[in-house]
Amino acid sequence: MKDMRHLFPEWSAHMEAFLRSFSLVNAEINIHLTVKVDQHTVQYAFGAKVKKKLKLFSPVPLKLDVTCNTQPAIYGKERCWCLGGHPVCGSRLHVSIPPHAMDQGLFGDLSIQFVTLLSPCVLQYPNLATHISNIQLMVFNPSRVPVLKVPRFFQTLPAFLDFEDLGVDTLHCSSKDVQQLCGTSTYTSEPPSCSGPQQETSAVWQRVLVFLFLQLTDPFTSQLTDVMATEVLIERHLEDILNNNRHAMTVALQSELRNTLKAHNCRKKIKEKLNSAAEVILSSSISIVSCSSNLDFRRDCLNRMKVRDTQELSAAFGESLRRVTSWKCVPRHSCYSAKVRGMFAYRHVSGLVLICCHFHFSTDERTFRV
Amino acid sequence: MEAHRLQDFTEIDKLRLQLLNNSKDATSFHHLEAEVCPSSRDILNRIEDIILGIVTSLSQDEAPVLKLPNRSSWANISFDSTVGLQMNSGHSVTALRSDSPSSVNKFAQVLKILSVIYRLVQSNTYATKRDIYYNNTQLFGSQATVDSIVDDISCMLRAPRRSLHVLATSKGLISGDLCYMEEDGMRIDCRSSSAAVPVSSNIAGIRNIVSSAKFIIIVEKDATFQRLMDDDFCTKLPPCVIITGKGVPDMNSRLMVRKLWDTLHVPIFALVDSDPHGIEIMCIYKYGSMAMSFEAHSLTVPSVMWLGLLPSDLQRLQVPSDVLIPLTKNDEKKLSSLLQRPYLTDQPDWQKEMEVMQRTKVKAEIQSLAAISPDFLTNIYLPNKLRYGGWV
Repeated sequence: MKDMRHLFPEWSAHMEAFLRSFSLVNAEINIHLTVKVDQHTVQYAFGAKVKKKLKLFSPVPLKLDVTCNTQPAIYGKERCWCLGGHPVCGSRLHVSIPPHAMDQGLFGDLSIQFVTLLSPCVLQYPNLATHISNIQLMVFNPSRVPVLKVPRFFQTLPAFLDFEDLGVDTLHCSSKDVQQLCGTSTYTSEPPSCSGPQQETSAVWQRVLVFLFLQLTDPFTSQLTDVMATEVLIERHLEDILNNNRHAMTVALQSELRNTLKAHNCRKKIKEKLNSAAEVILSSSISIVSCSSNLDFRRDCLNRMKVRDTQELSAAFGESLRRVTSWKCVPRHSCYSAKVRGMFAYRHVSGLVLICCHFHFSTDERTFRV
Repeated sequence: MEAHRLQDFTEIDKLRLQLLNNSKDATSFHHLEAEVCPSSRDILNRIEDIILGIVTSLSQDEAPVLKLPNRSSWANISFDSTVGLQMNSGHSVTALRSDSPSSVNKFAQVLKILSVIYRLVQSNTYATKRDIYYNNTQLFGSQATVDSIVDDISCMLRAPRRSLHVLATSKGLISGDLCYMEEDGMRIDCRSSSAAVPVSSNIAGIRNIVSSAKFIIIVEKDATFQRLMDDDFCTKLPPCVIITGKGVPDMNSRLMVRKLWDTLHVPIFALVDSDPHGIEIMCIYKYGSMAMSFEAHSLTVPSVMWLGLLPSDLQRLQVPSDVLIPLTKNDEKKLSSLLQRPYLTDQPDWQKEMEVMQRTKVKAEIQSLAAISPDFLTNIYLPNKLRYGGWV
């Protein structure tokens, strides 16, 4: 795939983010994009491999693309891996419309429906350690189209969130870390500091996706043109709406993130427990082997672990114990499991699969022809 | 006077003869003792087998699992009238997985204690359960955890705790016509009328037992034991030995009773409160407990007789009603549970007594006999019971 982004640097990133975001929450729609630049033609496809239907307040169910292409950190053998995610329908927050927005014609009952998704799914590996790489907030208008301009509200939001309460104390947020791209605000974290032999080499990086679906109920708005006009108003006044409901928004987001990260925090506690016990198991077992005068027993232990002496045995025993306990698999019917074989030991790739798209656009109309 | 006094207790002599005729050949007890007592090398080998199993699991990329015999399930217990409650050979096990958060702590604790035992046996030194706990209080959390795991390991390795070189401080007391020598050569004389002797913490090391006791009385409570001591009970009657485990007996008290039976072959009586708890304690001495059923052969004395305080004694002696206590809901539950135990079918007289308790719905402590007269217990009740065969 030829990278045409250098031809249209300003618009390419926005377009791919837009189509990607759109595709995420409209998984029933397959998008095919053909771009011709000079003599070069590039084709793109946006579609979901794994879809999940959610019933929201809206009469039309939401179909989310929950496909996850993250390569897990797998050691050697073939393992089950969930290729999708499990979105959670959160709370619905009713927000008030500021007076000047009402003056402009924005009426009705406005609410924000939260849906969260932790990805990749590691539910089948209850002992696996996880780190949170980033939290992404994505805002959609009532037609489930990504909001183009991200409100500044989300830039300052990290200052009002209690990350310690969320248990992500390594999440470092500042305005320069907040990336805003086509309706998406991303808060990134610093990698955890490595400390001695206890560092977790088989941890999986996860991201938290928070979908904010704006929903408006107005019995006087039924015509398509009215609906479109209303959505334009919502987008235009979104900053004010969010600021007008700052406290409620902050509390709601804190609650949603806390619920989503509960599983992550439980894993931390489980990991600490397993690591602590592993130290005792290792030291007790090696102590017996080291002080045994039974040569057959010592030789059998060394041979089975394919090592030469008790020092190597200690290292191999410890590593093996941590690996088998971390990768304990408890299959789940609700997961989208597939057999995956890892290529390298303890190496992982995380993040979205970005799809580049370039297209011819008309600057005077500000519409995209795809 | 002495001869006359001894003649009054012919019932006890008759009982002794009857017991000797009923019991197996005395050498069989010692044979069983040798069977259940593995050598130090055996213990080390068994521990090494466990470690090798763990290493093998890891080499096959599998999480190690420890299998502990399930000591708390009645399904694993069978009753033998000559032994008591014993663990079945095909017992179920509890799996401790090293990859499960709910069991990994216990897995680690078991390994830790195994490593301690390994060193003790290898160096032929001893430690108490208390020492083990205080060496790593953070890992174990409580003394009870260590106590339970030591018993689990004893069951898993099929070795008595004494073979693991782990000692427990005894809580029992003993007094009467008894002398013996401890393993370290110290001579113990239990004949002092003023002070009782603590039960030894190394029963297996006791030798040169000398006693002319005609019978032994197991006393449930320390208070009753002290009362007998204060009243010089052991000097007023034919030679005897009294022992108490101060409630639910520890292993050393039970081992001591068993050792005295093996050595002296004299009748052993139980003097317990007339309540379900007292009856249960008596059953522990006689038939053993579920938790220690794997070591029943060395802990039980199936010939123990129930001397008092019988529920029928309360009616017969017209014990004042103001010292009788109504049974609680828990008492009734425990009584029903006891009646369903497998060993009660072997004891119709005990069943009858317990049914009296169920019917009257009252219980009483031994101390309630003081309501009749202050010295009723030692001067009238016990002598008459022993004289006229008032045991079941």
